[in-house]
Amino acid sequence: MTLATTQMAAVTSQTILERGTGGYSRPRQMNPAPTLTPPLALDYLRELSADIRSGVVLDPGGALLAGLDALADPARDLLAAAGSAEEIHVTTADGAVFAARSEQHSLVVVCGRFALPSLIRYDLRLVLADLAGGQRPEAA
Amino acid sequence: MPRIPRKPTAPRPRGAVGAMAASFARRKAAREPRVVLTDRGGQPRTLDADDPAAEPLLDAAERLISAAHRGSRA
Repeated sequence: MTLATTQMAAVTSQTILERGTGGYSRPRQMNPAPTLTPPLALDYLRELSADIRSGVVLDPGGALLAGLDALADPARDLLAAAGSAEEIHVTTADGAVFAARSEQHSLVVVCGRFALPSLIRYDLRLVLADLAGGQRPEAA
Repeated sequence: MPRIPRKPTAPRPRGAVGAMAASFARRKAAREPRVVLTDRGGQPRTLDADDPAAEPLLDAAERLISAAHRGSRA
């Protein structure tokens, strides 16, 4: 690099500095990140927590979007029995079931008995937000 | 204001016996069914296992767990 080109870069950067960095830091139109699909959401949840054994994603009408068919009916019953609750946590002697729902999706997962409720609930909220393409929730 | 004397509590086992008793109590508590519903505002509500509202939730959860068990073995 010659002295002239070195100096040119320095002059350019100085000019940018004096004019402000708005040209570099202003928000630009970017391609939106692809939202999570329901089958990917289940895979992602299993990667987030080894305690999650299985799960389903349902739409607001109760139609199965991803997961085992055998889980769909009891998952619908669970959501119906919970009334307007947004999150459900049921522990039995054999395992634990967690569910969370948004306006677009419902997620129901089956975990081992020793799953940490706060972590699973956070993961469910996170994935629900990703499914909806919205903002991720703050950590509690 | 005079301090109210502390109410005497039932004596609890100490030492190794106490530790074992506490361990059994924890295991028993962990195996007991538990139902927690959280509303839109983030307010949790714990239902008693014998609460009529908890019954369908426990039933659905047990069906889900056994279906997941069968699914993982298949």
